[in-house]
Amino acid sequence: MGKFLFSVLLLVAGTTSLMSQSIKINYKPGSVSKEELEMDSYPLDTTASAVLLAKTYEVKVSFDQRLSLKRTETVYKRYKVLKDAGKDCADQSLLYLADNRFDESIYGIKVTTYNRENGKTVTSKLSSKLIFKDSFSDKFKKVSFSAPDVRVGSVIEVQYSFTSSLFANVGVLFMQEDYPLNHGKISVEYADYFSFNKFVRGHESFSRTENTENMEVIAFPGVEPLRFAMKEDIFYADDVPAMKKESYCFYPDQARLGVEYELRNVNIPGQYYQNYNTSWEEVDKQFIKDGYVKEFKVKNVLTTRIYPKIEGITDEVKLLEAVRKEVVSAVKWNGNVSMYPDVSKAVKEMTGDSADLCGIMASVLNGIGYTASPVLVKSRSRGVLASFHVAADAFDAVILQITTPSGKVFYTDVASRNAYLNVLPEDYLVEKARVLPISEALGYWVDLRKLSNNSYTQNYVARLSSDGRIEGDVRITTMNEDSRGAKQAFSNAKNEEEFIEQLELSYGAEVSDFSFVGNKEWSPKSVESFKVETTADVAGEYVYIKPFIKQFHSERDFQDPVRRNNIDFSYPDNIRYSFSITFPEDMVVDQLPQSQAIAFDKLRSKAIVKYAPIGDNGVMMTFIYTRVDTLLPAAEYEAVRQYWADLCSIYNATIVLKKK
Amino acid sequence: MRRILTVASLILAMLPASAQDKLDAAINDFSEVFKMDSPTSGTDKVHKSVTVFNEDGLLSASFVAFTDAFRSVGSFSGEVVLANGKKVKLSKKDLSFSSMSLGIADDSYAVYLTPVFNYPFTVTYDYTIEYRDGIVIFPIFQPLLQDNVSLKSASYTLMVPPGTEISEHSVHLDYSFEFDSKRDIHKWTIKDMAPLVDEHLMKLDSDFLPMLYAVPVEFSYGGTKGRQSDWKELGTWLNSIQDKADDLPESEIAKVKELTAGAGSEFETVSRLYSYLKEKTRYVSIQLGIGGYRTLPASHVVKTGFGDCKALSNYMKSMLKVAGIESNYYVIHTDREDFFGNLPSPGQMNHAMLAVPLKENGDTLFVECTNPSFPLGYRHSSCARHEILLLDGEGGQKVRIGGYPDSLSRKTREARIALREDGSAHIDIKDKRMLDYSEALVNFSSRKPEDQVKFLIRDWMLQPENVKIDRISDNFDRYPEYGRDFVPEAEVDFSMESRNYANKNGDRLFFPVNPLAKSFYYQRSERVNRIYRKEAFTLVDDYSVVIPEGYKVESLPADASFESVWGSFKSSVKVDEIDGTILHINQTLVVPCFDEPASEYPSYREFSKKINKLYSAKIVVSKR
Repeated sequence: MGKFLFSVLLLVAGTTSLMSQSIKINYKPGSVSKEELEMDSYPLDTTASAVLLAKTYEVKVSFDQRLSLKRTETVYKRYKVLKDAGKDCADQSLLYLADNRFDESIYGIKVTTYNRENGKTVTSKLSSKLIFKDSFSDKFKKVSFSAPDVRVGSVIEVQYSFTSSLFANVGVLFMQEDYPLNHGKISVEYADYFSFNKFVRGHESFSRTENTENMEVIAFPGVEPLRFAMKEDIFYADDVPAMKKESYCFYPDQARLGVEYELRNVNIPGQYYQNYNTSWEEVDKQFIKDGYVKEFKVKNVLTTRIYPKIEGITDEVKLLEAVRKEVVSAVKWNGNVSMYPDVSKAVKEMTGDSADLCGIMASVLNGIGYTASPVLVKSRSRGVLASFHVAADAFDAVILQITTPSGKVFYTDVASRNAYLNVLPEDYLVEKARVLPISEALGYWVDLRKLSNNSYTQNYVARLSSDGRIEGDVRITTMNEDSRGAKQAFSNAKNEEEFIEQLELSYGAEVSDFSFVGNKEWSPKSVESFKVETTADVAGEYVYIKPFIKQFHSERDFQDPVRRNNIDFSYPDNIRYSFSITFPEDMVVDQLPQSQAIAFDKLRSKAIVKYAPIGDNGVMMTFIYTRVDTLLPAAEYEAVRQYWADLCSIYNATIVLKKK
Repeated sequence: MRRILTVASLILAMLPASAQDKLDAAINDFSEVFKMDSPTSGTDKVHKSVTVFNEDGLLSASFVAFTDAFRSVGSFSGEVVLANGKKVKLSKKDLSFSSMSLGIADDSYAVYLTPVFNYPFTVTYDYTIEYRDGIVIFPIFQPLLQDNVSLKSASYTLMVPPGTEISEHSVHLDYSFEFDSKRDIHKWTIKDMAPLVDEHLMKLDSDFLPMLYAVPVEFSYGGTKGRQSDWKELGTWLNSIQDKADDLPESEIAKVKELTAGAGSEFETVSRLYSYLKEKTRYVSIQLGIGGYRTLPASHVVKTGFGDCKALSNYMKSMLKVAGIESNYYVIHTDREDFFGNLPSPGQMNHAMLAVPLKENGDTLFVECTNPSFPLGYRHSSCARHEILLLDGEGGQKVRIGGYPDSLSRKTREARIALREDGSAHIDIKDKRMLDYSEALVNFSSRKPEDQVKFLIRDWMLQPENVKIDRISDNFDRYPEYGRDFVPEAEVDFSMESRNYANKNGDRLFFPVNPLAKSFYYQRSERVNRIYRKEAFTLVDDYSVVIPEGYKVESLPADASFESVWGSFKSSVKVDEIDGTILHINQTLVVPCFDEPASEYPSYREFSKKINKLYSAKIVVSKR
């Protein structure tokens, strides 16, 4: 993963200012030209229903007149509506924190629509009565408004400002939107008392300039003014295409053009200095200082209640299974994922989030000679852990690293019922996760992507009758991540009947005698077995049989001709599928599909399919597919797409039998 | 603690263990008492006890109260009892709230709590909802909300001042009445209701689940007064709250006159204004205070260019009035065809539209002002055959919008497939849709190309690439030619490539008869409910496949034709007689409406299997 991030950074550094917007506009508010109003398509994307002609996002982190630190954001957007569907851009809803401590507000909302009527430009301004502010939920307030008089052809200007006392939370400022962007500018202004880490993300590129200006703030008459320099980083981008959804992508915004700011330190000479997590070791120390690690070794009523129940279990794995069972029996997972446990509260309320469950299980284990330490994870669905973003909030979830008395090491997410030891939800299979040792030593990184060997093995033993009926026995054995996936699929169905209906639909066969061993157990293995009945196509003297009743790849996965996001597979694959069929003595093999082997080196993937007769009245087929790597750059898309098509063609194979 | 254990054990003991294994939840007790203090105020007091057996039953155990300008949560307390006897108290501070807004402004909120504990557990709630500033509908009573949940007992008591006239519609409830000097007391009860089994091809849940919908005949609401003893009175009230809503400014009146000047017919006048509506407006929801029933004035739409269904219908009506054409505003429920029995009340509709009678041909246009891309003269699938409350000068009247013959709901795919020796193919398709099938192509050109393609090829077994849309056409503006016989039709011509249309196996090519067809769903389990289909349809697939030069047909599926109460299906594959290189495939499925007993399901299952087999049958061609 590291090399892809590196290339993005290089791209930014090497950007020149040669970019130019394809629609020349004056992006000063109110300067809407006749040409903008009369344009009826966007040349760079003629399918676009609207185009963002201009977007400016100005962020300022500084002192106000009362010397309070504030972050203000001023947003300006100019849309051109090109089709009916593009009218949606006129509706805007903005959320902000309801908690008064953060002093957040949205103000200065100005919305103007421009239309061309009878050769003249007609403007319609949004009345303040049509700006609605209300509560959205316990945590958020909402401002909603909708531009007036919007038609196909309209140009809409939207302006507003936002302020917050959370001055350092600049976060990610996205340039790219779901509409194509003609010209965009992001500026971030901040007093030189602040230092920020900055990270540009996305497949498109910015040009960039920097300015500095000296300032002074006089808070009270007669008091020495506060003097500082204001720095301004300006990012420009022209002709940015619209974002599109793509398959095999955990976090699409990783490819969305934007810039991320993270506060590194505040230094007001002679008055104040605060360094914000300039190294991971500093982050570790802060976690330890805040008592985070202690929350994983809390003695409480539950831990003491569990001890007698596990007494006498000598097998380490069985003991871990027993402890986990006791923990989730006593405290129900509320479905929420978090990083900060509150063990006492969860035990008292008998319900808790993922971190609470980890905290409880670790507390039990740490009291009986095991070592259970928190492992901080940035979920794949939240993006890649940026090397520069050195802060506690870089992570969003916690799992456990457990070292047994004999020295075996396991990683586990206590809350996930379909996972196991060294089997994690795919969202947590990341290259870098940070272990905070329970000993309160400094942390270190671990790679969670290949903790266990996954496998999917399916055997289909079939018998053909002379009337064309095929009866068979299917057994599917899954291990580790594949087992987790199988159990997840089963639990996603409303009940067993619905699951079997789905099987029948995908297999095109009737299913009976279904059993699924292990689906309710916290274990690394599950076994599905069932009988299938289907019919071969019979035409004259020929009988046609499809050896694959399941496809492991679909052309639907990579249907789009182009791709922007890297391809991010869930986990390595190791699939074995075997099929054997016996047929009546009055039939012979007329034609077998070709045995073949294909490979795709860039994913270290290969597929082998072999067909062979079994005596005079049978055929056997084995199919093996492996893929070692999980990440592929978008540049390799066409190659992987062809590989996928080749894989899919394997599944269409047909065995031809002929009546003697 | 001993007492709590006893209670928990009793609750779980109500159901046999086998039933507990299968049920998602059990409603042990649900009692609701609404006490109407005055025409504008009242208190709804609810006691509810639910045992939850798994996470699918959580909906039944959740507390949800909808609040707005007329309702708020008063008191709230609760208790959860776990299987081991432990108990957890719940209070108002445990409640969360979330905006219900789908538009830019809405004063509705959901106040909610979902208990999360290890199963099984029993939760009991006691709460009140305070009503103020008017009561047009009493609290709706729905003790059972989902399938696979049993109901032990439930009751709804409505206490109103003596002589207060009410009307109601109830499903699966027993009724009793008593009174004293201070109250009239209406009571509805139900006991021991078996869980609903959710299956495909069945009527709406609302036809199966117990429900009470009651209203005061005379009411005060948001500073207005009205009566709803019949549809006429209800219409009178709805008319009264829309008073002076047709306030088009002079400039807009002039614009309407300019737009309609010289129109050769009433329809042309309506059509010009409908186009103007499409060009000028869009749907944006604003629901504040009485705004759920009252439209924003026409001047609002003129000023902003947006409004909800009520505001846009009112605006269109106002413009038509200026142009000299009378029209009728009406309200409708877009899912349910029928109103609740003969219960006039405003809360059972969810949409407003406009009826425009044309004197010139005696037809009435049912105009969808919320989406003016719908063809004028077409009664779309969410309004055709539905009951509506039509407002007129006399008040209101309940009428039913006419439907269309079943045979007109039709989709046809004509495809020409040029198969290559490596199994790939070039495919040209003409996708023709009539009536409700054509609705998906309304405003189709405006959709993103990737969304257009996804729509066209969804449900296909085939996964094509390089899909190019060559032509989109329709007859949506041709009402004047057909008048009341107008039926919308739309057509998309598109082409594509397939790398794996056929599988090459030595000298043979294998390909499916109909790779564009969708499998017919049927359930495995024993049928419980009647088998009901409301919409009829016809699907016609007509393909020609040109096989590669030097190949001959080795195997074709046999022709088939069968018919039953579930529909008819015909399948034929013919080889071109001249040189044998072109195959003609025709598969036609006609499915009627039906309402058959559950015992007939095996026959339906067999019908579906036969169709699936014929859709997925294979053709084999081999080198000569």
